[in-house]
Amino acid sequence: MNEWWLLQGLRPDADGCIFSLSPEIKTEIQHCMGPMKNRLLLFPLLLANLLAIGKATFAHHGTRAAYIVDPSKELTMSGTVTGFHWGNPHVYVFYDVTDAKGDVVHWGAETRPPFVMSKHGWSRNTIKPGDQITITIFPAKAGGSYGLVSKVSINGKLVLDDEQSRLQTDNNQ
Amino acid sequence: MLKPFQVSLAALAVALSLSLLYSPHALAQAGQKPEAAREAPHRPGTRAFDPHDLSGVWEHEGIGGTIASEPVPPMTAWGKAKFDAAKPGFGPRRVPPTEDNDPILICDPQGFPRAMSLENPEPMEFIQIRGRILQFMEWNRNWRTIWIDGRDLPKDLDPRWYGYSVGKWEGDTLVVRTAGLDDRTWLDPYGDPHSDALRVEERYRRVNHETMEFTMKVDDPNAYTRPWMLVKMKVLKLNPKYEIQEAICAPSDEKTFNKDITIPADTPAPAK
Repeated sequence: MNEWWLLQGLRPDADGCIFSLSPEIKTEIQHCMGPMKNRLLLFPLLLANLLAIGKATFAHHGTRAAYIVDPSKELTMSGTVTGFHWGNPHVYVFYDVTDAKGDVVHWGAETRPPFVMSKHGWSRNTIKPGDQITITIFPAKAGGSYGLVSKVSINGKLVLDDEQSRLQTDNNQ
Repeated sequence: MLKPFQVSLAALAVALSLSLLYSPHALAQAGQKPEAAREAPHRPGTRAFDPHDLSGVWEHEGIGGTIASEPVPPMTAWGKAKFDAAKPGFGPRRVPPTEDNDPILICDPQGFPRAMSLENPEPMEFIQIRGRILQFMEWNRNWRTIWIDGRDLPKDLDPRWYGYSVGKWEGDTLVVRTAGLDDRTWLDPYGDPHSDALRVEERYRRVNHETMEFTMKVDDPNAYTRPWMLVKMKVLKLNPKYEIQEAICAPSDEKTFNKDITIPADTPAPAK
């Protein structure tokens, strides 16, 4: 079951709906579902997500070697996007966060390659400089302001929840 | 009192609703793919197929981030030295990306047999034409040729990233032998080595229309003390609707990524 064409009617930019494994997003999908035909799509959509996205296992560099893939170490922060790179080998985003002392910290976070992210409903237009971002990352082992994306919301809308997939796959490698 | 044509209309409406709810092809219709809607329904495993035709887009079933290989047998001294020089980003010997010397990180070809290992979850498209099978792998946009016109492996092959492959049907199993392999490639993301004396035997068996079984044995007396199964079993599923995507390792992309992310993410934060 990997029929991605099933998802075409539900692209997030068209309908404001996305698909994900997280409970809150399932709720959001149901909110988005109006016509009966879309409701019919819900089950295969989630099934396809369960079976297919989780298969994108090996990054070409070891994510577990670079990041602390542990739910208790995740960091969540909000800021303003300064850059978005849609390209191989991995899509990544830069953003500025104002810390408790009022200093602006420049952060970078990577996610999966474009051909995988497109299956998550992303495109080169999903994130733009100036967007408000709320992001959860698995932090870099080296301790700098870098991370591996777990969840992302752009301008208040969740566009990716990769947490469970990362926890399930990256830790087996 | 309903007039007959109203009853017919109501019945038609109910029938249409039911067909929409219960027909698997309602999904195809909702997805606006008329060609899918026209396909006859069938139960998995019941559709007719030619066991000697492996054409189609095949996806890997059941990949969960582990490689179902046999345990690696003891290495020779030569193999062990090569293994120790490999610094992988995965497995128990993993190192951070800036120390990782996996050849694919500089966009060297994955090569064979690694491209057919369990490492890649991405689909492949097989095209079978007279005398040969072409395998197109989504990952890194690779392809290889398997000659099935009865020829034998040439002697004294020069090493190549994808070697030279010949296949022969043994009943309904296609047995593919490969030699002439470049020893710069790793067998897997864990840095298991091989020499240019490596011989690989793959077995493909289409068990029904939508399912193919795949195994791969590696035999390299220079590196290992016995042959072993690099892939004990991989189940491939046919997906006629999938379009192969572009996933290319381009050196310029890699350079940008390393400058922007890999190196700074791997650099210890300055003390505050």
